[in-house]
Amino acid sequence: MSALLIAVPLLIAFLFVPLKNKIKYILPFVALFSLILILKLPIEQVNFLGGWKAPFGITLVLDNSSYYSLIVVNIIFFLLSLIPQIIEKDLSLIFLILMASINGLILTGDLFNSFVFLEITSVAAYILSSSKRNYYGAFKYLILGSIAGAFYLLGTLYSYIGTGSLNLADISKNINSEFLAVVPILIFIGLAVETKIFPLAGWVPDVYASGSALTPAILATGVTFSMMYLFGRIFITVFHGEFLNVVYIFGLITVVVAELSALKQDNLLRALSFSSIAQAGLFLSVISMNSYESLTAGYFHLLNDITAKFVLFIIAASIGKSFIKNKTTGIAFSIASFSLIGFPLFAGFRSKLLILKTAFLNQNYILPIILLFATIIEIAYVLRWNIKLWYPDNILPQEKEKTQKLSWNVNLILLIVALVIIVIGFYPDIYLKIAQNIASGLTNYRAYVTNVLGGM
Amino acid sequence: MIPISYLVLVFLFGSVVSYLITKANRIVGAIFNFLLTFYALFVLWNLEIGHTEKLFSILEGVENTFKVSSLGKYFSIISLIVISLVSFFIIEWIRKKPSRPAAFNAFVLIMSAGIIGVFFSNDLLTLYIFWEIAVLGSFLIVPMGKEDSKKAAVIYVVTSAIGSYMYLFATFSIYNKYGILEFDQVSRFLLNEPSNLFKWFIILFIASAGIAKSGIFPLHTWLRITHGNAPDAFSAILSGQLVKMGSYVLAISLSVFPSTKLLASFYSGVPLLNYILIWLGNISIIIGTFMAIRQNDMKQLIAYSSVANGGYILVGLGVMNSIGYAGGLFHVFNHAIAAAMIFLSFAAVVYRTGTTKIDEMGGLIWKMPWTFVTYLVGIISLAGIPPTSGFISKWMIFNALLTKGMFVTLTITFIGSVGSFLYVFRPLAGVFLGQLKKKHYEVKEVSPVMLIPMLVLTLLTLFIGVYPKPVLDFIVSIENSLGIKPIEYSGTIIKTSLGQWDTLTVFTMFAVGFIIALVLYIIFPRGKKVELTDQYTGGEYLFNYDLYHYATGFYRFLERLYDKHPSFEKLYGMLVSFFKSMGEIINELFYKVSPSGYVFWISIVILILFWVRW
Repeated sequence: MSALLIAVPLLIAFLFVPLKNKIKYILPFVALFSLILILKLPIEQVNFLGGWKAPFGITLVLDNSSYYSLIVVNIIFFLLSLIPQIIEKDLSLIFLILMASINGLILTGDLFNSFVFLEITSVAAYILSSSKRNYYGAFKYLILGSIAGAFYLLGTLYSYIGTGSLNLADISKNINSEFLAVVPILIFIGLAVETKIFPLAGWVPDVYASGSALTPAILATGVTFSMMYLFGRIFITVFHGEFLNVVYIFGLITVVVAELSALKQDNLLRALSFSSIAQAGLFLSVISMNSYESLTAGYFHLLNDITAKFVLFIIAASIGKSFIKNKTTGIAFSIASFSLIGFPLFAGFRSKLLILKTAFLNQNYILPIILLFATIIEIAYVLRWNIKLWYPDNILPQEKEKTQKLSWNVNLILLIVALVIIVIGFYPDIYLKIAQNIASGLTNYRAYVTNVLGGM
Repeated sequence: MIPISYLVLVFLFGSVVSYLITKANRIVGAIFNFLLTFYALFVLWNLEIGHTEKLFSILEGVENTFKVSSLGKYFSIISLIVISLVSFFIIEWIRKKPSRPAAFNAFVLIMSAGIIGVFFSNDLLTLYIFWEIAVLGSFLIVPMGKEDSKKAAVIYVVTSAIGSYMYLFATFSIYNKYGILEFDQVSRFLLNEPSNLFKWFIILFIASAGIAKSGIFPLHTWLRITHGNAPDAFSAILSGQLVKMGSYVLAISLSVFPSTKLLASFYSGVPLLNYILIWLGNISIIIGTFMAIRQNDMKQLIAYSSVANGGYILVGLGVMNSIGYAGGLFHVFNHAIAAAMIFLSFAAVVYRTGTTKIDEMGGLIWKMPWTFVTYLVGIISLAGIPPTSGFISKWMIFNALLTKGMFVTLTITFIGSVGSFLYVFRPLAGVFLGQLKKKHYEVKEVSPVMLIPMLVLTLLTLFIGVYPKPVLDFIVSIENSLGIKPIEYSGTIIKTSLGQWDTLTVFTMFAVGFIIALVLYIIFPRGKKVELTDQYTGGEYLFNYDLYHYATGFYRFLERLYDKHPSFEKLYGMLVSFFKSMGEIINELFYKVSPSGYVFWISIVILILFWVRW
């Protein structure tokens, strides 16, 4: 059943190649279909493709963590498909392919298979990022992504040599110290480009700030989330938290460096993409503490971040120089930015508290200091942008004429998401439950192994 | 009587209502705001001490609650007096408010909700949450002001964040160590804490939120630009109320966590930590006073005076003996009222003339006599001259410093007092006295709606100056609840170990003096009124009287002494540009490079990783 999540979007993408112009209208139905399908699927189910038993064939694993990650990612796809204005017409196909590959990336229980999906995702992302004639940015992304992909493949190879298997559960069971010396490094570099770790995230500002609303809205939310899921799956479930101390340091460096770079950006999209890098770094250093609580805090924060970024990126790309004609949009933008900063009443505050609490619980005093320092810088530039857009100085009348109102469906969706941010600020249970489930699925690697390989 | 938590909710939802009403009619919206804040004042006035309400629970083991303490009630009533009277002022003022009156009214209510919450929080986290709500509300209002106000808002919120994040860090350290956050429990745990370093760290970090908010050195730079550029009526709330939130946190960190019992005495009963804070207060007094003397913008001038007065409050609270602490608390009241009076009278002047530059005005006493009276009483109180209430608190602080033998601090506070005579006289002379400019011939006194709150504040400060019992009652109950020996007073006589002070006698003396002067004024012949240019100097008649405005370079002889002073604003500006150029370097090195550069960085990372691992 779960294979349908990958097959259906791909199939529809192929079927509709001749009808490229109509495909836009089919997107919401496909997204809705996969969302309903996921909700119908039973958790703790393993799908052996071709009938080959676990270590030998490719498996699609649906456990707590992949189930909830799928829901999150597909909700994002569904929301995006409801605002077809931002999807340029050639990109609808890519949208479907991206959907298939991300579903596959989350579902797969096989290292080589995950490489394949990673590559498909990357290729789709390259094409997405070349929209609005942003060829140089896409080229940079392509080069970096290919190198990273090569390293990921190399890591897969070494893990096959080291353990004789490509199945994640099997690797997790059979890991030994020789193997651990080399594979995590290779996989880490392979994933570092997509998880935006310094200094391998050079592509992010160029790609996110292309001016297209779809590119950052999908790359900074859905794709980032699935990559973070994969990162957690590999480093926590498979490698049992090995190598995370290095990730921790890289994460912290990423936070500081990205926030400092964001300070001087005179393009809103670039500033937001640096903030996106910083939040990714923060997330990685939080989950590097490798406990159930820290993973919960990390994924909770990631959820809040992508919710806020979803609103911020779409508005930043589609609004002109001010909110003069789009006040509702402006309100959604401000709510999202307050959540990003972590003002009380908004969602980001709850995850910030949780992160601080876990960090202190782990006797970790450096992470809170870095987090608070980074937030101060973030406050400076995010609020400066808010003020700039709300109180624009010297706007020419003809420019004012030129800014058009966003259409109602964009506004509606953005407002709904903004409302979700406020609701989560008061009742964080929905997001917390998702984060807790992901965390419990990732940390409980014994259950994962028995689930996939059968009772042993 | 409605519970405080409902009151906060009423304010939060009221902000939406106020927004909608103001959209329809801005004056009705402002009236709605006034009624709501006045109602809140009424509710808070009738609160019983010790009343507790459960709110929510964010962290396990910590029930977030509201609890009415004497300290919180005292501060909240002062705040609501200021806010409700300023709201009354706004009813008229908002007519001319150029942009976004609806948002303005809504944000005032959001801010007030936060403020009420801050003063009744029973634990560190609740205080933080409401603190940030108040900051958020006020931050959103600031950019509605003058040209520089957008920059001011960012500086304001960043400075505030520096303080509040240090506070949050300390909060979580406490939570991690003891598992509780309630004030009384925290102070109990701190009393049993063996590590001196931890106590220092907690008190300093908690206090830093207050330092940032009340504009104490070294986080004082935001006051000038923010108070100077915020919307005129809102500056009164900023200086009269929001800054007092900082004093409240300082009071908590020094007295609710009993600093004198926690730490060993360093100098006549004052621990070293308090002594350092007192010195920060001293530096603030010096900086505030001397920088205020230099300002030509009247709002920025009083903003610096707020720095100095924040210093007085900190000095008073830091001494932590019966009289000094009482003086600090009394000064909170005085400065709140005086700053509100002064900023409101400025707002009235700006409302009529449209400028804040002192040397563009003059002689407005003829046109706006009641505004002048408000300003005059305000500065008399600010400078601490009897019979206004401002004198009492300064007298108490001097007294405490004298009994403790802190002569350097005493000297500095005296210098600050004398300096305040100088700087408050400058707007007096430049704006209200002197020659009326031709362009201001048509200026009228502001309407009664604006005058009423100003005159109510004037009467209040005079009344408390003569009959300080209401405020002293509060202070005694606060000192009782915190285990400090309460000050002694009976009727209008305040007693200290150095002597006593009868406010009524002083008032009578001043009143008699005033009456004698009045009688003399009536008996003796009036001076001859002449045209402004009907005079001569150097044997020449004057034709262009604009040249003789003496507000320009008013205290040049003094300013010359410290023209080349080191500026912290410049230092922080340098720090910001340092961070910015760091970001630029990183950006150029890592994010903007060509693909071949990325390949280089990937190889470096691999090398580092392999080196780290093997």
